[in-house]
Amino acid sequence: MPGWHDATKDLQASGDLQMVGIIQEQHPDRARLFMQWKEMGWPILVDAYNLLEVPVVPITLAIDEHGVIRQINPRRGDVDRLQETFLSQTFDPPPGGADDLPRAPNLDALRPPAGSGSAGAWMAYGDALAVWGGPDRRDDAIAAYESAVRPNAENALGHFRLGVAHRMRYDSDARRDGDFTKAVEHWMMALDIDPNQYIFRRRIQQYGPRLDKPYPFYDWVVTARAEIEARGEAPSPLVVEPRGAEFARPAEAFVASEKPEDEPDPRGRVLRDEGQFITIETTTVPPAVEPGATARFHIVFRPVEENESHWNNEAEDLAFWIDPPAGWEVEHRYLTVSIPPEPVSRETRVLEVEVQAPERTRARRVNIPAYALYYVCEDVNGVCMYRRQDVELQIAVKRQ
Amino acid sequence: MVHHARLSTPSLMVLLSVAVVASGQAQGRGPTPGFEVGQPFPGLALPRLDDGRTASLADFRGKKLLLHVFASW
Repeated sequence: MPGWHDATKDLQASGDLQMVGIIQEQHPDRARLFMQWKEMGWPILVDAYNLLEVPVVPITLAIDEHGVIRQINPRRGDVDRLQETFLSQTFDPPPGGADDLPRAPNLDALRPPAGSGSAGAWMAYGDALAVWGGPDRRDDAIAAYESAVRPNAENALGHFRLGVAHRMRYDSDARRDGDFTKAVEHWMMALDIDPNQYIFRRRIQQYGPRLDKPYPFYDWVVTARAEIEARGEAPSPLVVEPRGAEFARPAEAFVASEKPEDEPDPRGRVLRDEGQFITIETTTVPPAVEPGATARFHIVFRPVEENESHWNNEAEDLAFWIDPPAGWEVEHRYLTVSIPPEPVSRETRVLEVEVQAPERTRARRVNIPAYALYYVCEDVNGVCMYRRQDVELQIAVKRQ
Repeated sequence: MVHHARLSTPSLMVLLSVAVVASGQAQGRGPTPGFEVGQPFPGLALPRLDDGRTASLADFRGKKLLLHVFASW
């Protein structure tokens, strides 16, 4: 795409060619940073829900002045050929004339009656909410897509869009418990129905284990920011910083740490936090694996707002211990999250670690025991403490 | 086959239901269902990246376009 941009700069400047982009990405603001980096200032439309139903990217289309597709994936960067076969041509308008501009519908009028309505009607309502409703109607979009997949479990696009909406809500202030897990589960259902759909597959791979990665997804962000700043510009901000799996490089083999790791609380003597001070949310990507396959655990720690909880950073790092059952391997049994320099903080802390299922197992669902140790304070009673919280990392094993 | 939206009606149900998967073969690289040479691009409204306002390719009517469907990864 940057190749096309560079090759057609003169044509863009003269008005002979208009470049337009449509983003197939969960976080479109990352594409904004990419466009800034590559100095591509053309209009971009966002299709995070894949309303276009494309199975793969990139796709390049030459579209005439009447909106008719004239070439699909023209030879990359071959401007002479594009000039000869497209730009210098005169095309007739399509029979029936050109389209009208889309107008916002009455969203509530599109809503099927509660408890009824076809899967198609609920999909159309969900799509309308996704396009025209914005974040304020995201809950309604989720409910609409749920109604669309309920009567038709094979509705791959419905599951995919439900996953997109859940992940969007997860990344917003309106986040609800389990949103990320539901996103992954629905993406997996979509992919199971349509395994050739690479847009579905990429959403899972974005957060999944290294063995399943085709490439690092967002490693370019670091370079982009550095080069943008070197130009004297401020990099476009990101709503959600890419991390962990989104930077991870593909791997050819699962490697568990051989370094001896000592369990930090082997006798379980540290007093428990049952979630009063810190909530721990875990998501497994993918949620189910074949024997011998790998998955990635995302473990998220958040101070509880109601108790005005916050991290006490005057002591040690947050520690996390995993005790996998026989046959299961994790990259590391002992992990830490470094504390920031300020004495107290309220940030969300995240750990990611990969697991490999045994080659042979009869288990269908495994809860891998783990626990976190951390220093936390609450401002209601002004108490600071060292606490342990037990968690289970859940993963399912597919039948072969 | 491509299902093409006729956008003379404000019904988004119609507008969105027409951007349906269809089979097609790209020229040169991989399948690109839903797109076919000689057929209008689906009349789909989408949010703009810069300001979130809803737009469509119909906004660029009268210009020759090179449209890239892509992701930054």
